[in-house]
Amino acid sequence: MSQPEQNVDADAEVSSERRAEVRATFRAKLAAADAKRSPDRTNRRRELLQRDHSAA
Amino acid sequence: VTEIERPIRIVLDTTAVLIWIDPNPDRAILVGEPVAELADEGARFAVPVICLAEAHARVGDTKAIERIAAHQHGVVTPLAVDDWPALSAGRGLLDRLDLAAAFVVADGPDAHIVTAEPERYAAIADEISIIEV
Repeated sequence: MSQPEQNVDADAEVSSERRAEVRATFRAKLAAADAKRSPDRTNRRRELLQRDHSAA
Repeated sequence: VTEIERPIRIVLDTTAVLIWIDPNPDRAILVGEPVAELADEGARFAVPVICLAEAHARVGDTKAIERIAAHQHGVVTPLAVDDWPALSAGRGLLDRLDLAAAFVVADGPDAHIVTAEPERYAAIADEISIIEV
């Protein structure tokens, strides 16, 4: 399921080892991103989106 | 597990969409495999409708965009009337409406923006979570 249409031919061009490597890299990045989660950041984000940042 | 129970763990921005529809499978798997990994966990991806439109405007691959829009493990987040103030705020910070849409959609601590251009989000680096592909 590497491409949106689950293109079997395209997938066949990429080794299972390479796909596993990509997944492992993503898992590490996801874990790192999850580790930085905090309610403060979520609140700051929402606060930013409620402000007027227009040029006027 | 219903759609509502399947959490959104990543938000694809325009650059992530462009990588996923890249004809080169070595590039396409950089997004395709993470989507598959999350699907195995019972999670989903989201993609703002503006990012789909921007990706299509850049490369014109209608079929590929349609496949993402209909993907069983994803959801396209539409524009709602009430979204305009947040989109305007995001646009004011990031200078592009598609980036602003990803910022707005990545609501909650569990959703991370997936992008090939993390530097585009520098103005809000402390307020969002980015996964670079």
